[in-house]
Amino acid sequence: MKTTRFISIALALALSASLFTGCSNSSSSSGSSTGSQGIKEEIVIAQNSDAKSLDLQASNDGGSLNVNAQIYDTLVVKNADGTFSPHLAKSWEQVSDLVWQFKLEEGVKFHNGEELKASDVKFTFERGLTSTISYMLDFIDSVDVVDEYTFNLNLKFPYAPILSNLSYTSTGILNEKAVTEAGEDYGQNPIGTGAYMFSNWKAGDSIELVAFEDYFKGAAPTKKLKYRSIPENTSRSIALETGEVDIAYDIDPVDKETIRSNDQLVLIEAPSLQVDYVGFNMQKEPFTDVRVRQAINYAIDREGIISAVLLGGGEVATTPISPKVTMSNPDIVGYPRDVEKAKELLKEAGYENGFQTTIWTNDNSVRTRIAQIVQANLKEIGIDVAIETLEWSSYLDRTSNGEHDMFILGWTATTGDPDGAMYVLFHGSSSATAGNKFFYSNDEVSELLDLGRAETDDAKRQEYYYKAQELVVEDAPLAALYYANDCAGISAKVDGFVLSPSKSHKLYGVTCAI
Amino acid sequence: MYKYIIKRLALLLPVLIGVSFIVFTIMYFTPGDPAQIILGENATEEALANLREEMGLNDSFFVQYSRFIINAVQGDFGRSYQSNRVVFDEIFSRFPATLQLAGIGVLLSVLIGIPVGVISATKQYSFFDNTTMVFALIGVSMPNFWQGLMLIMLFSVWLGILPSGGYGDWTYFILPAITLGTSSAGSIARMTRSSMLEVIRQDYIRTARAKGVLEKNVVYKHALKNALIPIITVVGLQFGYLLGGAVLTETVFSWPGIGRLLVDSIKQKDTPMVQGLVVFIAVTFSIVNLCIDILYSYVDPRIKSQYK
Amino acid sequence: MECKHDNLLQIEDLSIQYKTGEGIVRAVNGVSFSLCKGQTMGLVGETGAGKTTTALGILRLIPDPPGKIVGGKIYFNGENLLQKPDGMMRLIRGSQISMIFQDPMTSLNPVMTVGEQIAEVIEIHEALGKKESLEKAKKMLEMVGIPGSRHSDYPHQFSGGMKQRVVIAMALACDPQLLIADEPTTALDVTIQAQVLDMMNQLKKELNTSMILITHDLGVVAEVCDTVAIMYAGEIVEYGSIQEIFENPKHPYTIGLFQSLPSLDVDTDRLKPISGMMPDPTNLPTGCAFHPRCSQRCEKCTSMAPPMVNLSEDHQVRCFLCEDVSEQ
Repeated sequence: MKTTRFISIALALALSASLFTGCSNSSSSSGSSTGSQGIKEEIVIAQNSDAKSLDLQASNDGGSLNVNAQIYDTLVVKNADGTFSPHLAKSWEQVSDLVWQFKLEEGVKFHNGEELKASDVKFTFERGLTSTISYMLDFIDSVDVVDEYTFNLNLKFPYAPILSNLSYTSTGILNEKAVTEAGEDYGQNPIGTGAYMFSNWKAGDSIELVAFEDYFKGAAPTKKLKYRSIPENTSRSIALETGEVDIAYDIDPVDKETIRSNDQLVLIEAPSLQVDYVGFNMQKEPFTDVRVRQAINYAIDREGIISAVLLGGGEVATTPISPKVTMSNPDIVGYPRDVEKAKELLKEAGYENGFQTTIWTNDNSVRTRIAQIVQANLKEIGIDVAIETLEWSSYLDRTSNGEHDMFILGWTATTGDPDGAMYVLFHGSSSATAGNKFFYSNDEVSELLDLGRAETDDAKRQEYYYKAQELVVEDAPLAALYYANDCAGISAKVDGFVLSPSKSHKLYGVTCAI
Repeated sequence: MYKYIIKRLALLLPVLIGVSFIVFTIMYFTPGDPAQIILGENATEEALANLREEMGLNDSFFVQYSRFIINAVQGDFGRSYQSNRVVFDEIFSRFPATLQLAGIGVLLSVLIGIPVGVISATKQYSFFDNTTMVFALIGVSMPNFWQGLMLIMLFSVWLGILPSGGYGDWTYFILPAITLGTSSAGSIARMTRSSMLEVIRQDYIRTARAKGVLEKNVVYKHALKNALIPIITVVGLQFGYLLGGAVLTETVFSWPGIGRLLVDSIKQKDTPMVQGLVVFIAVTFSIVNLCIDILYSYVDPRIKSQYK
Repeated sequence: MECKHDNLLQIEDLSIQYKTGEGIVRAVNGVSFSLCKGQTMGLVGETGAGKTTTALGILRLIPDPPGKIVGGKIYFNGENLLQKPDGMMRLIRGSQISMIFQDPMTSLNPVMTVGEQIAEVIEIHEALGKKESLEKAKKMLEMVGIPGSRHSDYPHQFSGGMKQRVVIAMALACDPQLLIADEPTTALDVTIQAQVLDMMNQLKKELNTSMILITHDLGVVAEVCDTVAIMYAGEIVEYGSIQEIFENPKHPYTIGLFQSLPSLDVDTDRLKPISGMMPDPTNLPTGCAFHPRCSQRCEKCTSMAPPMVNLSEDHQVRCFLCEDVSEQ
């Protein structure tokens, strides 16, 4: 009987607590112990899903990438200004049109004590070509080992973005011995050259990493990292507030203000490489008519979407490439909202009284809200849109089959390179499965993209891509909506944390005061 | 009695065959391409085709199903499409969390529910009875995830005395167990109450009183033992159900149980995982049912005779 | 009525009511009778007359709510049971006053062995431990004609007649002074009835137990009882020794009862029931409760309730006896 009374009192308190919005106080931190120089020994990070596999080449989901970014290293790294710096590769040279030669740093150790050799690179890329991340390495035809620390990449075709690709986490280098020995179980026993080594994995709950003392750039100051999987957005923010985690990724827009106003926490927002858009299936009427597509572009209230759905966490999109991607065209005006113009265009196309159609989205709460706003916007110009929500795998499947009319999707140019941002979406040869769910084909655009891919001179490349963007925007196979901000919350005591646009944030050098 | 147990275990087999066939069929016909999910949005046609071929997805329904059955009989459910871990390894690594939470949740609900139900029945229409039945109704109707969030707000954020989620030492168990336990407690309390009310009206209770038995013995020794049978059923079913994972509670508390695993696997069309999980859950549920039936025979001697 | 030795039980003016949604049920109204040691009294009446309620009243087992003893006194061995605290009353139940109920199929707890159930009453009232109580329980079983080895069997493993014998064993285990038997054989086959009654008689003689036998069967009363009380609508309408009541019934209801019995001697086409029905206990008639059905009523019966009148030392009747000259 006493227990029930306690429960009812607790419930009553909880019910009254719910009347108060916005909790401010964050309480004592969790059990992270002390370290040297007044910094914490372990930093705890919360992400929205558990890693699928720590085999770098078997997974490219966010959960795996975040952890793998600490375990593995890439050949080169991309700087904020778009230039590249040596990392595992100490130098490189384009020897001919289709051959690039790389020299590795010497004495770089893997976590199992083995030394990094060119043979590891050959093994890595050959394995990678038949793996989940093959699309990152597709430009490679073969790898030749020249000597212990030197190798040649033989390309299938001239590929300008090669260094962008090689700076992306997924193209990191594996240790041949470790992979072959572990066989099928490698995904749970990863070995890399990175600043942190794998220590323990509690499935569905957390992954623990320890600093690699022999890291070739010097051992990391924070000795342990723990990645916790907290899928529920609010729970993640709560864990940050209570101090149970020091860093939390992917903060839900509704929690942003709470974190901002908490002086023990810091909200970090940065533009990402992602663009979200409404796409058209150009195989189906009336989307065969460019005027209809442009009309819809004029009708959509992008500002409204950003303020209502993202709570301000984004920028209106003009070109279909995020400004964080190199060679994003800043001169493009896009389609500022103009309902009258939209109606005019529809009339011209012969749809004065509008028409009925559907818009597809997956069961993502942000996207369903966007769908509702678009539905309202289009109603104003006489278009009746029915919203259909599909579950993710079904969504991908059926849009690949071209069953849709309009659809909402996003695209992240993970390499930060315009080729990665445009080729798969807009090249005439690109299939719907790969990304061209618009079934779009413009020969001029395709040619420009081919040229851009092969051109090594940056100035010329930029010309090609600027022009390609102009044409795409005019053709309007899609209505680019916004560039979302990437958002993380950290404890005010964390130092050195930088959000990486490619979403695999490296924590080397990050510390947290006690 | 042993013959009965063996007979029941033997009946498991057709159940498993039926269940696995249904699951396989559903997964097969649901739209969504596992190869696409694995390779992601950036995959090329070629890569997808290759992967599908490798995974054997192009084979006919019966070929795929036969392959599955042949392997399953040997205990091999394959590897997860997502993590490439052996399916049963993955399940067994996450099952303890579910088992512990289910056990504690049910224990809590029984410790709260049965005494409350008994007292409500013996003091029918009293203030205690009315208030606890209202709370029981609230407990049953209140969505778990909302209750979980409220508890987190109160104990983790405001008071800062309990962790807000995750899986660790005993402090991590408290809030999820309360969330699960109180909603089950509600239904167990109501069940106990109605069962007790029925039993208390029976003639043999009057006989017990006429013998001069102490009232508390009348209630607990005579009445409750008889009232237990439907209550055991409810408790057992709750436990069996919770062993399949309490998805909402697991999500709110980031509890690494098999409920979330199942939902995620379904969404990702991770067929080997889904199959392994469904078969596993079917087995555990059947065993729990068997245990309930055996427990009956200890509580009610009339049933024991039927098993001979 | 005078007893040779002491009055074991004396009930004066007992009234019991139930508060229900439809009104107040006046189940027992001013019932008085007494019982001597070693005597057996039959309590006869139709269903709903108030017999069981009276019996439950003696043991204070009336469920409250909705029932309540609203008046009267119950003297047992000189002490008023209605004034005893609950704890004392509990000690009396099962040890000094025992009751057995009508339906043996439901009177025993299905999840306890018969041995346990009998041993329970022994353990409560006698200073014996578990083992000794069980031993005594086995002896009780033997006494009622059931092998002692069956003490570990459950009620469902016995037939109806044997169950009732278990119930009797349970009731007599502590050697009570008074046994109240509420229609103990009604639910049994006729052949078993005879067995059980014989057994009860025998035990009664052996243990010198007084008994109140509630029944609607006048034949059983004739066999087993010394005195008989006829109940109607919550009142005792006629009360006296067997000889008096059976040979010389005075109350029109009693006469009607006897006349409605089928007779082996007389050849008839139709039975002679009493016309009308038992009145609604929430709405009893004014005056004499029986007057609406009475063929011998007179004016005052409709407005005045007749008092109990002593016709002789062992014959009382509650009736104005309108046709009888000797009324006052």
